[in-house]
Amino acid sequence: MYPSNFEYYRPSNLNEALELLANGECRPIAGGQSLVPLMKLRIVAPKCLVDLGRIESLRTIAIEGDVLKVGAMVTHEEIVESQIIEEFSPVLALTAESIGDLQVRNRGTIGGSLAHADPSANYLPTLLALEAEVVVVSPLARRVVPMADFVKGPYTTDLRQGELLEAVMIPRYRGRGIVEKFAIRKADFAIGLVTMLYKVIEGKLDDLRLAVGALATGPVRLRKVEEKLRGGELNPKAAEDVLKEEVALLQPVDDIHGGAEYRRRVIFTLVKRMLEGLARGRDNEGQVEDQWGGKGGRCGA
Amino acid sequence: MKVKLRINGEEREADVEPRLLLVHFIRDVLKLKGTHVGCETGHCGACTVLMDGKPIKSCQVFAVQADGTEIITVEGLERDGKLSVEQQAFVDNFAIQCGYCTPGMLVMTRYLLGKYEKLSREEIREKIHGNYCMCTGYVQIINAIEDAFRRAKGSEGKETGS
Repeated sequence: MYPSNFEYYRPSNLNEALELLANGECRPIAGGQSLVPLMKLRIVAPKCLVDLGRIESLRTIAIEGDVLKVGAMVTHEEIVESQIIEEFSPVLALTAESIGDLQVRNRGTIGGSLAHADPSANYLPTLLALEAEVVVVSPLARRVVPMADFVKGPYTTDLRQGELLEAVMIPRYRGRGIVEKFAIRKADFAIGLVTMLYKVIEGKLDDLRLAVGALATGPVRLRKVEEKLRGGELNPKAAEDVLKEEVALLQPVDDIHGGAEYRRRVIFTLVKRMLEGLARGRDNEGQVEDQWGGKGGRCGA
Repeated sequence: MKVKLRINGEEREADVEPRLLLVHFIRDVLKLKGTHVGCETGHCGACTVLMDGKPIKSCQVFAVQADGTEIITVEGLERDGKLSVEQQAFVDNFAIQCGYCTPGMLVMTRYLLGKYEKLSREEIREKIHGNYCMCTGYVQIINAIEDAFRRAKGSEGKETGS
């Protein structure tokens, strides 16, 4: 499979890249783990590619005050292995680890994943729950977009012509996180995604955040469930009706990998299990067995 | 467009179209046929090579993106006509059925040996899930990787996995 031909540029700094992208003919390429297959299948055929792979300023992981800044060209595997991220936001590392396989994680980047905005991208619910922001640059300006406004729908983002995703800003969340990815095989695209952040203070659930993904709308917070359980005893039964109600309103992707109704049931079950695990006093991070008997805790039936 | 890279310790250079994939550069331009083209959609891992020490799928990268990098393919494993530790372990454990996935599996094993002191069977399974064996010869392959670890690290202890 050969893509159609294109012009290729490899700028060494951000300004050069923005200049090349300004005319609208060129598309940026990050790790290429989504774009290259799309080009090979001739679903897309950009006339010109601007390779962001050699722009060092996009590869940094840094803490600025109480915010973690992850450059757009940081790979998934770098996120998995980063000491800084392990300490600052372990739930981000868990999320990155659930993406594809090692080879894909070595090339694929957080910025590429977000800009591509595949509905089943693993980062989307986690970054929404973390209340992250996306830094977007153009030759004229730099703006910050909250995750809640960034993804508009499948493969559709707030990025405008000539803009480039520069970094992701993640505020510190002082609590625990659980990431669940439901897929037939671990490397497959997710059928259902749930990220839960929580704190338990004197037996009561505090600052609970529940976000779900693999939706046709972009990731969604389950606000009513959060509200119902926040500050209360850990009683998942109390939230079941609200959860049912809220999940019924979700618009999951509806395709050959799973119909919308099936995916709603998957999400309902994943959230219910998470809450039940929590209520049993079990830290179910890494404790849920997947269907192959592995202890991934983030994948499987 | 000019691509210059170091492959299996040797400096190579060629002028190619930007759309040429790294796997075709390796196979058709540099004539190193050990790296296989499997699914072509980034799933199977038959085309796995090490780029600057990390396993990647060479069918998911344009050759021009690999300019200036260091590549190791399956041909780079043996030394002076003698099979490497991982190659010998695969032979001795019958970890080859049709052989199509083998180059990718071997390159992956080389990476794992360099990166980890020890891996359980469970961890090995986890690490190679980007490498498909369509013969489903995984039991022997995992045995071989375990054996390669024993040989390379000189440890007798065998990890028991589930």
